[in-house]
Amino acid sequence: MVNGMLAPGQTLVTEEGERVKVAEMFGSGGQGEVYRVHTRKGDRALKWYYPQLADARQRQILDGLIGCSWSDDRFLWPQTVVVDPDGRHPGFGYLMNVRPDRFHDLPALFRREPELAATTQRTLIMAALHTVEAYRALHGKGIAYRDINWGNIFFDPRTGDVLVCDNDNAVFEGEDAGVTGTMDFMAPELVRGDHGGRPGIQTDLHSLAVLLFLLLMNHHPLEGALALRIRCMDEKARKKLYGTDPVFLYDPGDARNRPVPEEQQTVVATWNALPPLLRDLFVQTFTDGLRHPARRVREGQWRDALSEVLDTICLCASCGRQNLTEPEGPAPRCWGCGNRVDLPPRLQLTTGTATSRSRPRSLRLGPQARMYVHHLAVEAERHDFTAVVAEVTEHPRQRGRFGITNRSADRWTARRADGSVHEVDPGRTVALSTGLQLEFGGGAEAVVRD
Amino acid sequence: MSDTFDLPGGSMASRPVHFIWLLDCSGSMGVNGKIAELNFAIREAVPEMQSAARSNPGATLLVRAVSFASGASWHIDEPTPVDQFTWEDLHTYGGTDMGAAFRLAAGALQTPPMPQRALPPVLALVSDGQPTDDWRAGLRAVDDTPWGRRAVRVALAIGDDADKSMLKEFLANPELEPLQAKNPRQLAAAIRWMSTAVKAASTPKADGAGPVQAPPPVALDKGEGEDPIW
Repeated sequence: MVNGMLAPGQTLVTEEGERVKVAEMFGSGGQGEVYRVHTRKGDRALKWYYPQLADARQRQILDGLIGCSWSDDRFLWPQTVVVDPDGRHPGFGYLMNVRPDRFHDLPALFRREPELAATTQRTLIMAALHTVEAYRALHGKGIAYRDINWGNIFFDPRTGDVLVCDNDNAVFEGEDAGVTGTMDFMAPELVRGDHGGRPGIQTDLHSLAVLLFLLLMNHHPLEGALALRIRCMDEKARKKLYGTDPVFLYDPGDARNRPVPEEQQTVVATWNALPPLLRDLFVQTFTDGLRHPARRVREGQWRDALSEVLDTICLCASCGRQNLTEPEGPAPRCWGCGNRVDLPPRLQLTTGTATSRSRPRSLRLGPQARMYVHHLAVEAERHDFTAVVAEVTEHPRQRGRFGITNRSADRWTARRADGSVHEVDPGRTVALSTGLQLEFGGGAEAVVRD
Repeated sequence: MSDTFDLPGGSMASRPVHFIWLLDCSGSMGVNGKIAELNFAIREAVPEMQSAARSNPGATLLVRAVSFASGASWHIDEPTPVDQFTWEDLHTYGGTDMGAAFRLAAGALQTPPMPQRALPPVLALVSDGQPTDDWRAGLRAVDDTPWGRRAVRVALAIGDDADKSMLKEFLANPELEPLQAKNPRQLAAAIRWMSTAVKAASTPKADGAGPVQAPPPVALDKGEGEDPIW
């Protein structure tokens, strides 16, 4: 067994005076060790800092975060400070929830380890969307994460759910604190050490874009031909690549760093399978956004684009693979078999009333396509994929006949192209037909297009 | 396309990180079971090393070891993927020919056998005494190779008799100090920490908070029947 700073069986005490008992060590990182501990309310994870890092500043950061008492299931948020009542172990740690087993680390995904083989294009896009929304929620509270990297997001390959860990470096925007991040993920101005450059929400946006690129493309956005010319990837080389001369792989105005297809096949394949809507955002954030922090793609833009791409994933009729498609664009060729993907009919959705009317968005009506609560809202706080309101289903007795089933609690009104009007109660299904109009209530409505 | 994943592309491209242990097997390491403690500590640190390697998909960690005493030899000469790495016990056999160990490492840091592209290698030196050969010439041989010059270096002094100024010269960075272990627990903690130097070689933190510059996690002596003095 690995010897850690704390011994199994040892008793520590929370700020509230509750005793917790140390069990096994989960692991160690750059700042401390993480243990399972038994508490009155069940098992928790304890992060215990290395003594030299358990300083007043870290304590102040922790107190601020705990003071938020934020209970959001996407974050393992610090809950309370823990100390050794006997004083034999100087310093402190904090409690958080234990990470459930269904969440896997991203490095394992990037290495395509077998236990993550359930990952699909859909769950990857969902994970990207959840990641963006999680950081948006954090930034919306005025908190900068400051060290977004592949080590602090965990992911469920089956559902696309994410869990943000290591939140103890997050600080309120403008506060000073030590960590400036992992170099591969850092904004160029921080890598260069520009005067006045400090980690904050605007630099988080760069790190977030790097993380999204890694998640979807399985490659670093700045490591193309220029990186392959570097023999020893040491700190000096990284400074140039990420800081003083960063060039996006697909910078339309600078082809120096294009991927080398013979050696970087993965990114060539993943980029080819990415719809222009997302490509354009990566180009913006890794060209203009590299030089001008204010032009970095914001979480809201990522969220809207990812959400639209998620709604237009189509199965290849020849090989069954999931393909990302451009929401209003032509059918792509399948990344797996090369055949043209057949696009199913689409539902064109609008929400809101009068001045808050949204622009129409499309949802491809493939078998088992679903609508969720967020489809009916003008601006949803988050995407909840358990809140199903509608679903494409096949007629129970007439194979090949499809309809849209009302899974909400509200009655819908359906208008067919022939002018007939029908009420669709919860649990009932209306047959899909060209021109079918649906009113979901609250100003949300849709029309079926070929 | 990966064989098992229904996703475009394959796994993330990675570069190798060559990690070379340089371990003192002089006679003095046999006193008070120090060599046994070192064997134990390295074996115990293997999971830590594997976990540090797993945390970076852009790096492939390959481990080797040189032992030095009267002369030097490869204890593990094949660069071994860390997931397959197992530790065979070291045994003591004489002097402290550290220069010979450096020369062996320098040979391994030429291109070839080093590949055209890699992450900086890691040289992890552990010693409890004064070198008995021309260590400076050996160190120059390391410094004369492009990979040796760029290597991430960590050093550990066991006990009070180790030549700390020499170890500092090996580190080649005035801001760095060798680690010091004066009892088995400190040794275990230091070896564990050195094993994770792969992180500094593959994902440096820009503020220098990577494992090389940070002091090691100090495991406090719990005084459970262990002899605090060697």
